[in-house]
Amino acid sequence: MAAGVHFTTVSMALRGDPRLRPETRDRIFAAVARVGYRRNEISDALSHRRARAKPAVTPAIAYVTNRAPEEGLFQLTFFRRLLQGARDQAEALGYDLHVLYVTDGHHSSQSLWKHLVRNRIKGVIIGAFEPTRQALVLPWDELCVVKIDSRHMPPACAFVSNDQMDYVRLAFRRLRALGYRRIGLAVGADDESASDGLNTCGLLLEQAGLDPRDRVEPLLFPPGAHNAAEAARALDPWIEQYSVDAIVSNWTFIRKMVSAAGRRCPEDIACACVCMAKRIAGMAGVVANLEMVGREVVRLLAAQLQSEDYGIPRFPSSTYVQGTWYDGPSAPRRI
Amino acid sequence: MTARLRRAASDQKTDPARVTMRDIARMAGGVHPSTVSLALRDNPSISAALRKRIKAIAIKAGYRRDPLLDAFNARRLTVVQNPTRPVIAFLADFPSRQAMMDSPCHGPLWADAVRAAEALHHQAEFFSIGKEGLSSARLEAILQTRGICSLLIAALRCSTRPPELNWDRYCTVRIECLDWDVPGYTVANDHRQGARLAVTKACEAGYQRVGLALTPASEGATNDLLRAGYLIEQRSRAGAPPAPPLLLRDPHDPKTLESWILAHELDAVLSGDARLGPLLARMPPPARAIAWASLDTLQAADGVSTLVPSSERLATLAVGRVVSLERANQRGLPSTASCTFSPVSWRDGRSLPVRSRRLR
Repeated sequence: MAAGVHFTTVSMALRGDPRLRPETRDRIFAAVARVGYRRNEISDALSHRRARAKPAVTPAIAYVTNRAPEEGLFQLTFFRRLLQGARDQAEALGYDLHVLYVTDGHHSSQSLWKHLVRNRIKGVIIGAFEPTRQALVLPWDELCVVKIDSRHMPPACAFVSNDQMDYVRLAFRRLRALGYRRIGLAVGADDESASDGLNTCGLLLEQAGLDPRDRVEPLLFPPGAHNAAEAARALDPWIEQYSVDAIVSNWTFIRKMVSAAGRRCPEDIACACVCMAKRIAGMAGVVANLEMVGREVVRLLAAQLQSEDYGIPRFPSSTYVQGTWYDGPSAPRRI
Repeated sequence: MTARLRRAASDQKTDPARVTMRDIARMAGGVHPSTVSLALRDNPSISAALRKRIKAIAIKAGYRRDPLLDAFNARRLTVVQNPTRPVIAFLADFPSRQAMMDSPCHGPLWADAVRAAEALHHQAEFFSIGKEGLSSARLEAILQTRGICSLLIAALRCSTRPPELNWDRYCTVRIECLDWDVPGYTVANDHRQGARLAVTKACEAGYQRVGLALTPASEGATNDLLRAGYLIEQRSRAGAPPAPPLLLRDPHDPKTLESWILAHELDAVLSGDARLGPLLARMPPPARAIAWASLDTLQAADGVSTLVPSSERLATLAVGRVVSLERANQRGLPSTASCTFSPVSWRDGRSLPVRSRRLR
């Protein structure tokens, strides 16, 4: 209007259509500058779609795991829920989600990179890589990358995790309300160092108000001690020494370990798990909000992609998602 | 409705399999497509019964939302403000924009929020809340009239009550404000990492009995994070158990602070409140000479060894998050909280000089 032409002419000028005379084009650009018009990226994307001249390529992001479907990726609730959340958020934002596996029989880092380039994928989610399995090596400067957990695995990018400190605090507070007084924390040493001591942080905060003599020192199960019998050997003397009446653990089979140590749960000692991927029958504890973790990681990635924030940041952010406590028969109200 | 484009006779749907709102409108008994649009977006002007019926038809027909169209409509169909740059409301408890810009903490945060918003084709606008600002009702009316749906709530003081808004209408991200009862999306400085960093720096400078002092001026949750970082870092270092952190109820009373320092034979104090410096200066020796560092990210302390937050990182994370929520049209508060922490750095100063390593 400011340039005195039909709006389609303006559109042609802005698109650089060669049919337009240079004088007209210049006149239009001058008017554009005066008025302050800016392209609306969403209108662009929509008109692409309607014109069908070039079908708009739906932007895609990659979700990578180092466990394959045949190794139980979709059977394990933990991974399944994370992926579901990521899928939901990707769809809500209009991204296609390519799920890829970096493991024997699937991708190597090199073939994965080729896939990303071919599909013009600039954003990668490292979806809860297991530290004992294959790591991923990509030219990170060309990509936006965020991860779920695996804090100590490279790359040192922004990550999203469960708020383990808050879970432990939640468990302690609830157990105290149920009447337990000698609550102890028993976690795997490997898990603890992987989370930078967050479980212990929760413990230290909750015990801060107690007299030092009333504090129960945490028990760290030795690295690699997934064997119930072996871990039980550490459990028994610890329970004795501190007269523990309730155990907060990140291992879901803590009840089995307690029986292996010759005690009954909940009659002799209550148990609560602070690392549950879903509610477990009979178990009190905190269930992680894994779908939200998946959603948050996609949101974080989308924000980075929009700002074209490529590469590994010098100061990566850390996002923590809260969970929900559920009562259970393993920690009944103490009379 | 979006402007009608003239349809050529040969115009076909881009994707013949895609169910559109026009199809739903037909299936619902010939209602107008705009009714379908309003119903699917839960607009109250359509009766609840009709909304329910239309939604059921949509689900059965396999109608899928088009996220691009949603985002487009979210901007255009609400009252048009600036047609190319939607507004992100920046709510802070200052009586005026100038007062906010003069604040050492909020000034840089605001400037960086403006820049971050611009980079994402948005526009940040300040709204005053709190005792001297807009009432919740007035604020709600303004936001609704102007069609603003994205909010940043910037680091309210502990004494300020949060505004009471109809949160379902907005994409909201809080900056700090960790103490709110209701879960939300939050971005904050990583106080826990900062405390760990400060303990490390103090130990590297040769201090062996480092204590932590906090005041109620910081939020309870911030204090918890500082304590957590302090305790876990101390624990990871072999040595005597750390002195219990002090919660100084009256930041102007030197006596409690002094007796705590002497009782635990501290040689350095980390404080969550930058006003500790002047307080230490009022104490008699030897407590007065004690080394200290500030963990306060809300108040600056010149010349002091201190944690340094990055308002740029904080603002970028906060604006990025709220825009991400807006793009997916995800309004309302989440059922469980999620907090993104931005790491802080360290700046050496005169208050925590390197100690010679000779044992006393």
